[in-house]
Amino acid sequence: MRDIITPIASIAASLVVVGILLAAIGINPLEAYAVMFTSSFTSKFGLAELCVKTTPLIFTGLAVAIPLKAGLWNIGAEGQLYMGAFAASVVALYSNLPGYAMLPAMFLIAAIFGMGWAAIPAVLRAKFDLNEILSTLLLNYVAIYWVEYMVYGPMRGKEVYNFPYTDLFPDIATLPRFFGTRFHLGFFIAIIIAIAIYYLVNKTDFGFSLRVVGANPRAADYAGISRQKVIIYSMLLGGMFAGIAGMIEVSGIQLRLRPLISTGYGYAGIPVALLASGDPLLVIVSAALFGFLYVGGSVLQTTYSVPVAIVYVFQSLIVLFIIAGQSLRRRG
Amino acid sequence: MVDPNFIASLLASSIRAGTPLLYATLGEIITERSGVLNLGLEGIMITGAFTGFAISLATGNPWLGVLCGGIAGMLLALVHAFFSITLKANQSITGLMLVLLGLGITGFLGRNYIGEVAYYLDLIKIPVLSDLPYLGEVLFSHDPLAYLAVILAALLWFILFKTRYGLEIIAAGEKPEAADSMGVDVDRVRYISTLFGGFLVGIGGAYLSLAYAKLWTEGMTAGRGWISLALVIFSGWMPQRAIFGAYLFGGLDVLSFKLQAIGVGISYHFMKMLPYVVTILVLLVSVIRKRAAFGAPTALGTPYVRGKKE
Amino acid sequence: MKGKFLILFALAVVSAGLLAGCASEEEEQIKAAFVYVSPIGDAGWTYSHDLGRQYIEKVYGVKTAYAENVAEGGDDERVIRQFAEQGYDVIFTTSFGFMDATITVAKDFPDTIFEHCSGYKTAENVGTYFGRMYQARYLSGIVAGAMTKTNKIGYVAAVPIPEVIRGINAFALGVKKVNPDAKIYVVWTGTWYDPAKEKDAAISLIDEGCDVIAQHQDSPAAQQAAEERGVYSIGYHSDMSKFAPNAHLTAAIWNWSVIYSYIIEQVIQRTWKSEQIWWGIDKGVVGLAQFNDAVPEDVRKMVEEEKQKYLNGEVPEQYPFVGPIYDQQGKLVKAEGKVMTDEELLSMSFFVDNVVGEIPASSE
Repeated sequence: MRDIITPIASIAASLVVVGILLAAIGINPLEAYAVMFTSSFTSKFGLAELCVKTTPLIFTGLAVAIPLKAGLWNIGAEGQLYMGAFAASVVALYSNLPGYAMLPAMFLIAAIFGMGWAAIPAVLRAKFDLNEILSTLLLNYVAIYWVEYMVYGPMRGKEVYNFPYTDLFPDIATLPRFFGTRFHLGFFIAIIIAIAIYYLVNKTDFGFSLRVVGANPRAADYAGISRQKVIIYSMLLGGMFAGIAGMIEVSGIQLRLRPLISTGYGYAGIPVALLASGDPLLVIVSAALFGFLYVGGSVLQTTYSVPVAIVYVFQSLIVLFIIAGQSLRRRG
Repeated sequence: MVDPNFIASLLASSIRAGTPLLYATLGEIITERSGVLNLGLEGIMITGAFTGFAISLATGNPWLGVLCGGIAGMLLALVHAFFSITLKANQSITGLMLVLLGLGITGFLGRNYIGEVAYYLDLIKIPVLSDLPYLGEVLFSHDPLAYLAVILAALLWFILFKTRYGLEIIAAGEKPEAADSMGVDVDRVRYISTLFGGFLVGIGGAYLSLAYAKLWTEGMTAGRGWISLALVIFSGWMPQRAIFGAYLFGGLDVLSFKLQAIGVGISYHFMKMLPYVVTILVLLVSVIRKRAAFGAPTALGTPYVRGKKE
Repeated sequence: MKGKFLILFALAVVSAGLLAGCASEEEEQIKAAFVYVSPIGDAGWTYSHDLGRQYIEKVYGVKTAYAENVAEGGDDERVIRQFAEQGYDVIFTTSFGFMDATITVAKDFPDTIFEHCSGYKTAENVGTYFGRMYQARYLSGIVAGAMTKTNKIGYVAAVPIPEVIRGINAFALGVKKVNPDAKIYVVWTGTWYDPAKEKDAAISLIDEGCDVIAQHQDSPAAQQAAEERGVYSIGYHSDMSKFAPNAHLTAAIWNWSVIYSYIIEQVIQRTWKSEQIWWGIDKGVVGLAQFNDAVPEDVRKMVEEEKQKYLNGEVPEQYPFVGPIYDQQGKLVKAEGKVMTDEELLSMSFFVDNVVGEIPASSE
């Protein structure tokens, strides 16, 4: 039960503090929260947009949560996402695959590229005990600038008036959308994968070794579990999810590759995973909460014209409160 | 073949471009040496840049601006210290939140400072020496903070490796249990290191708005906090190596501009990527050759809980 | 003390309420929303649009709202839709990348007016607007060409997109007009948000002998570099002379309030129709800042003469992009007397022949 109470209590506390700040800049906090809530939950488009924002966060949340089970911090989901998006875009634009094979091929290649990008820190950690926080962080920038280079150069589209975008993907390379909104198939894929991972973590041998390595590395040695293998596999899985997030984002939302395809989803995956205590099913819930924060942030902007800077302050305070709550729980 | 003027102006520019990186890197080295990983440099730097600018504008005293920039950085670092040392919370995430927090606060407060002209630090040309051909331009014609950064690096090297207090910092970062059993107050050492680190990072930000670009725009640190994080690794957590690394990384951009200016085309995308690639390569080489001197502090990023074994 | 404050506060609240009451008694107030790609604090592109927003709010009593730092392709559609749902009469989207999202949302809100800046797609309820900044660039190029002694002019540019390339070329053609021997040296910084780098780029150019520095960046950092090194500079976006009182010769400036006023007046009078507005110096959307005292009389006269050509309609709006125009390889891009089309201008991706520097990673 305490597992549920603490996050809720810390979210409530953060709402109070943020509310005081809102009041300080002349906005009625209750009204603001009501507006944020109704615009996300009472209209078709609001709900659709909530899901649109939640989808990549489920993936990046998993990308952080799975390595975290083994005690590893994957700060590199952002870069893995970019590499996945890049690979998927290459397939979408240049492969000429038939319609039935296009999306699966994009999915697969994005998963592979995401994994490949995570493999570097994974191996460095497993073989040389190199701090994965640092290596994953560094690789983010390489990936982001790589994509920037590609869209300014070789992949720049023919029909984009020489702006740094690729051309639009062919229709067969875009995820189906529903209800006349941007709500797309990727949401269901995310849910299914999260459930599958829940089983993988809780019901399989691999999941068991994962948990043992994370909880007590020495016990893993006694139990004959190869720590190196678990480290590598868990990072690869994490990279895979982030890579898929990239594919889903370009083929479900952006419909082309451009320099900025993620508004920090990879980094947001860290609090998402933490709030969910690494539980894949709870990742769905906490991803939805953060999706709500994103959507709500822009509702605050459109309704009250608050500077985006205020939205940043709110988002960071909320996360800090959640972390504080969790730390207190662990200690209490 | 190569024009000595070209080299001299490249080196002089590299030092200017490297100085804000050097302050931030030195600050983070001290922080990380004590075992605290602060990923929030970007947020702390921008806070230092804004505070420095605002105070200089309000008081007419750029030095007061620099000081307050450092103090503002320290305050933000205090948030990090409280979460990561007192609450034992995850350090990566609070650091990342500091970035958001710093950008947010300065973006909100800074709006009215766009297009303002404040009071800035002037160059100090060291008499006689600055008249030396080439060398004078490279070494002896900078603003006071640039000289101070080098002195500071030397000082930090001395403190870290030659004093008892430095030993305590390193112990807190390497083997906190052992340090504790020897009577070192690990949390206290970490608090002081993190706050002092934040102070330096804040000064690095203030350098940007008071000595380098001399203006305020939102987000003007433009990723220097992240590059400094790479620099900490690049320099193997050694203050003395940070000097070289900061000037090198600072010089990369300048080099690309200078090459473009003489008509040599060069992809700025790769130039932006280069510091990170180089750092990764350094990491690779160091781990493969098992050079302990290049290793991260063992307890980096892990909160110390008394009486709890690994 | 505290009591006094409370009374003042109460008075303020009451009077604000009264004012609001008065406003609502008049006919329905027009509401305009602005979607910005970067924070207003960028000091450049978004800042100058926001000055336009503040202007129409003050002059026309329009209620305005804005959302800043909205990501292209990801969040833009949601933000535009939110504004539309909240009943804004007109929504301005001020970045090229918002084009598709603007068109998409406009389909669902046929009674809302959408205005997209710098794009080319329109609809019944979607108009476009932009300014022919290259005209002002051209005029500022004349100043630079006349003032350079070394015949090397530096140009600090952000990223290779058509708007930037067009500006460089127009500037270069202005230089050529008065000084065929001078060359324009372009340095790309690869960023819109890094004043320190912009300054370094300017210094690199000055070190290589450039004695006039122009820029396509948001901040006045390049101007500062020129001031510190004792060379001349040409500003952009707004009058930047405050940052470089001696160096700053003039600046190519935006005045978005001209277009925003025009559109808002039509919205208020219910006469709005979808248009593709691409106005130039004749309407005052773009222009030159005040000349520095250092600019001699004959140069001012020359600039004024060229400016008059636009005002009298002696030259097409596309001027100076009238043939013969050669690219860097010496290839004739536009034959003598031929005028480049607006579409060619909007997708420009080559440098004219007196520009030194490359367009990085261009796909050709």
